[in-house]
Amino acid sequence: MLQPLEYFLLPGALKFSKSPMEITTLLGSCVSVCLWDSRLKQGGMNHYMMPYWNGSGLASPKYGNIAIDKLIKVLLSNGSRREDLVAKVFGGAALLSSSDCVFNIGKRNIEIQHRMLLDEDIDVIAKSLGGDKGRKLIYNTNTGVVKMKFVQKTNIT
Amino acid sequence: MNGDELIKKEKEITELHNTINALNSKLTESESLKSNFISNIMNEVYNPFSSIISMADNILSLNENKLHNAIPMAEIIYREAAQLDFHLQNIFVAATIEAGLEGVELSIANLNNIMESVVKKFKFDINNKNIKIVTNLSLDLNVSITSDAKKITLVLLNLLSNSIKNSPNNGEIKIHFELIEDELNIAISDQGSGISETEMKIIFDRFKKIDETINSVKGGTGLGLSVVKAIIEILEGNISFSKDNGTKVILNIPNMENNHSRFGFDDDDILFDQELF
Repeated sequence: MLQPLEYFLLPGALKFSKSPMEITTLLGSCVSVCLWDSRLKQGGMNHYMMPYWNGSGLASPKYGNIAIDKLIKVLLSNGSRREDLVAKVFGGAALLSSSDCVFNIGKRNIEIQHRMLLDEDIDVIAKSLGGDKGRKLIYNTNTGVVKMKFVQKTNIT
Repeated sequence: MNGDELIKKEKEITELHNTINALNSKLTESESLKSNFISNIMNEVYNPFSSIISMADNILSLNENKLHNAIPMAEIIYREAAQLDFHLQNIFVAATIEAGLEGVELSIANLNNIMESVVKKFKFDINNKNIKIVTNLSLDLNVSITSDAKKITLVLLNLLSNSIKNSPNNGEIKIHFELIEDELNIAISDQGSGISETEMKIIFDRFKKIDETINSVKGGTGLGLSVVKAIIEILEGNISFSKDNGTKVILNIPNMENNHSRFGFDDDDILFDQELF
């Protein structure tokens, strides 16, 4: 069997792949939604840093409301059906080293995915959210499996 | 429901009402900005294109004994094409960032080379306004860092383009480079009118131009600074503005050489069997 391609996902970016791919990312207070199509065996992942785009700067997937919407759209435009989509969600830690914890960004990042995925009627089949540790993820877009480990890093977002 | 609860609910409803109103006006504004953007783009793309076509046409119809006249025409073609290239780069980069597809391509970014290419792109505008560009880079001071050279180039193109637009004739633009430990600091200051406190709040908004008047001679798509900010964030840097005679922009761009963990090459990353979802 072919080895899946490897890809490192930066904060604020989004990755979708039709062919098998292992997407790696590092999360602190950020949240990643791993969306997977169980029928076509394809998937995508986002990595958003803040819950809402407030109209300032570019409307990029750095913001949860845009990142989740774009991720769903990219799968649907690649032939996925809404009823075949499932989500796994990670991140939203309250890192003590980060100044973000004052505004509880992690918690607000968690809230937005919960609300939006509920509205979009997409089941969340696995999650690891909150806490005070960062996370490293490897998401296989072909199998939908996510490997995760907690990390103690000071410079992750 | 008792009286207290009713009052609380009513307060919540008023708050919600206010939020919806605020969102609504933001959306209306965003729609009008979008239509401004489309008319700006038509100007910024269409005008250079028509100049290029007509100049090329003129060159083609030159008599053999007047071929020397082709040089100033070719200069106009270069200037207009460079403008077009710059605007298109901004539009494409903005679109890629908004699609979440922009990554970082690490290389050694040599600021001397970057500055040379950036100044060359605007040399006609610089000459037209007789602007003096003063930098501390020289053969003796060669500044390089590990970062994304293409992105730094686009940032400097945008900032220099703004400074040139806002500079008075015969003005001076100072660009100061400094490498302190693992961070590159760039300060760009012009002698223009500067940015007011109110303007400071909107400068990073996409499609927004400070001078929206119909007769504005300062072109542009209104994308520049939103692109600059997004790029600087991708490069994990900082951008700040201050009023100092004219406008002063300060950039801090970190050296990404030792930033392996961010790109997934992590020494303690041997075991990955902790949890499976």
